[in-house]
Amino acid sequence: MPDPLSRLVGEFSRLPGIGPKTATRLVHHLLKVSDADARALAESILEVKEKLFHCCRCNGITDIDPCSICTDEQRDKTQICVVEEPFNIQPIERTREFHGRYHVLMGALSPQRGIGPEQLRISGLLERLDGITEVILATNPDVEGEATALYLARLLKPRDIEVTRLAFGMPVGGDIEYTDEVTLARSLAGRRAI
Amino acid sequence: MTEIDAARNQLRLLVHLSSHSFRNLKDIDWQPGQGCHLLIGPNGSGKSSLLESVYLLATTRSFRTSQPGDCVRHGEGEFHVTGEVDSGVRSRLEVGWVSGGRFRRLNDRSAPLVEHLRVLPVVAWTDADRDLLSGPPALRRRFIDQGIVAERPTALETLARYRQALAGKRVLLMERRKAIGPWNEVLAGAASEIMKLRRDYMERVSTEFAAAASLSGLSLPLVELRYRPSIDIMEITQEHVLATIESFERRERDKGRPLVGPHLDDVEILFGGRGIRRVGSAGERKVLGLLLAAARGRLLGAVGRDPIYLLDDADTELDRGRLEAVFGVFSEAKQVLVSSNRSEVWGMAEGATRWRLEEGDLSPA
Repeated sequence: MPDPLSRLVGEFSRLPGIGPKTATRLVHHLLKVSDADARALAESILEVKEKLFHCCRCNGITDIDPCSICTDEQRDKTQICVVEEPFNIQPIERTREFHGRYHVLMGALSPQRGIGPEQLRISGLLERLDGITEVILATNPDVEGEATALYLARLLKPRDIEVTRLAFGMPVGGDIEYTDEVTLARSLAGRRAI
Repeated sequence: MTEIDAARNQLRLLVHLSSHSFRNLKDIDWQPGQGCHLLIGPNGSGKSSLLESVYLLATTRSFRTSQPGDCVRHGEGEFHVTGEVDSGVRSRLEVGWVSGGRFRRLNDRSAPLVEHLRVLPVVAWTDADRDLLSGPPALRRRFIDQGIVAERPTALETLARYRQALAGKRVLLMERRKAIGPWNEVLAGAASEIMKLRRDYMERVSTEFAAAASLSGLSLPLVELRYRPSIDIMEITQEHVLATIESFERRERDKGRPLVGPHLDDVEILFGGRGIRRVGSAGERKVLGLLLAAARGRLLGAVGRDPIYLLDDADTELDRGRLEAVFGVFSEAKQVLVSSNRSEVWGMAEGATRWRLEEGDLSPA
C-alpha cells in the first residue's frame, strides 16, 4: 500500500468503532470524491479542533466559554444532569423536558481501562453544588455507568441533595411485540403503580 | 387453549441441517425427522462434530472449544452451519466463522442473541460433561446456568452483568485501588438475582431428576442435589447479599481477589448420603449425568420448550442393562441425536433411525 494511503488508513483506524477494514473502505471512498469535497472534510476536521473546546464549567463542547447552557439565566439553577460524554447532552436537550444544567464526567468508571474516580471530572461537579437540590444521574445503563452512578450517589446523598437516576424501560411509541426481551424484562422489574 | 398455550405446546423440531467446511464433516444436507436418530461410526468419523454443529446452531457456542474458528475444516478459511426449525412456523438459524469473526443470523437477519436462543432448545451430554459430577465447581455452575438460560434466555443479561462487575472488582482488588463500594453494589444486585434463579432451578431439577431416575427403573442409592451458594443466607435480598459481600471487604483486600459471590457457588451431589466424588464409579457417574440431562430436558418440556437431546458416545461406560434403562428415559423425547461407535449395543432402540458416519460422510445405515 502506498505510504499516504497506509498513513490515512492508520489514522482512521485510531478512531473509535473503526477497524482496519472500514478504514480502508473510507480511504478508498475519499480517493473517489472530488478535490473540493476532500478539502472540505479536511478543513472541517481542522475547524472543529481550532474552534471548539470543553466548557470550563460543565465540560460540554462549546465555542464560547462558559457555554451557552451554563450562562443561560433562564435555566433552572437547582438541577444538574450528569452524563458520561459531551455527546450525551444533545439527546436530552432534544427532549425539551430538562431545563437545568449539565455536567459531563468525560467517561465512566472502568477499572479494566484504568479509569478511576480521579480520571473523571468529579471534583468539578462537587464544586458546582451550591444551590443544587437535585442531581440527575444520566450515565449509561451498563455496568460501568451503573457503578459510576452508585459512586456519585454515595458522594452526593450525605450533602442533602436529591439524587435521581434515569428510568430503564420501554421505548415510547414502540411495540411490545418488537421490544427486545432484556429491555422488556428490565421494564417489568422497574414497573410503577399508576 | 390460549394462543400462548398453543405456542408452548408446539413441537420444535430441527427439520433441516446443512454444514459447509465444518470440522471433518463432508458438507452435509440432512433432514432429520422426529424421534431418535442413532449416529453410528468409528472414532474420528465425525459423530461428535455433527452433534457439535447442532449445538452450535442452537446456542451459538461449541461444547468443544471457546474459539469457533477451531471448527473450520483444515485448509479452509470459514464455515457455515444452517438449520431450519419447525415450530408451526419455520425459523432459519445460521452460525459460522466468516472473515475471521463469528457470524449468526436468525431468519436471514441479525437478531439479538436472546431471540436466537429461543428458537431451538437443546440439552447435550458430551465428553465435556464427563467431569460434571467429580470435577471442579465451575462445571456445575455452568450446568446450572446453561439450564437457566435455556429456560429463560434473558438471564444472560444478569449473568453478563455479574461477570463484568466482578471483572471490575478483581482489577480494583489486584491493584489495591479504592472505590470498591459501587462495584459491590452492582455485584449484589446481579448476585441476588442469580442466586434466586440458581436456587429455584436446583430445586426443580432435583425433583425432575428423581422422576427420571424412577422412570429408568434402576435401583440407585438416594441421590441428593443441593445448591451450595457461596453467600449462604436464608432470605436472598440485594441488601443481605450486599451486607455479606461488604463483610468480606477487609479479607478481600488482604488477598487481592473477590472471596465471596455466585462465582464461587457449587452444587453438592450426595450418592447414598456420601459425596459422589468418593463413591461413584465411572458407570454410576455416567448414569447420573445422563439422568441429569433428562431432568434438564423435562424442565424445559414443562414450560413447553421440549429440547432436542444430543447424547455423544452415550453408551460408553455403561453395560447393556444400564444403557437400556437410561435410554428408556429419553424414549418419549421429541428429537434425540445419539452417537455411538458400537452398533451392536443398540438393539433395544428399535424405533430409532440409524445413520452411518464414515470419514465425515453421513448416510442412512
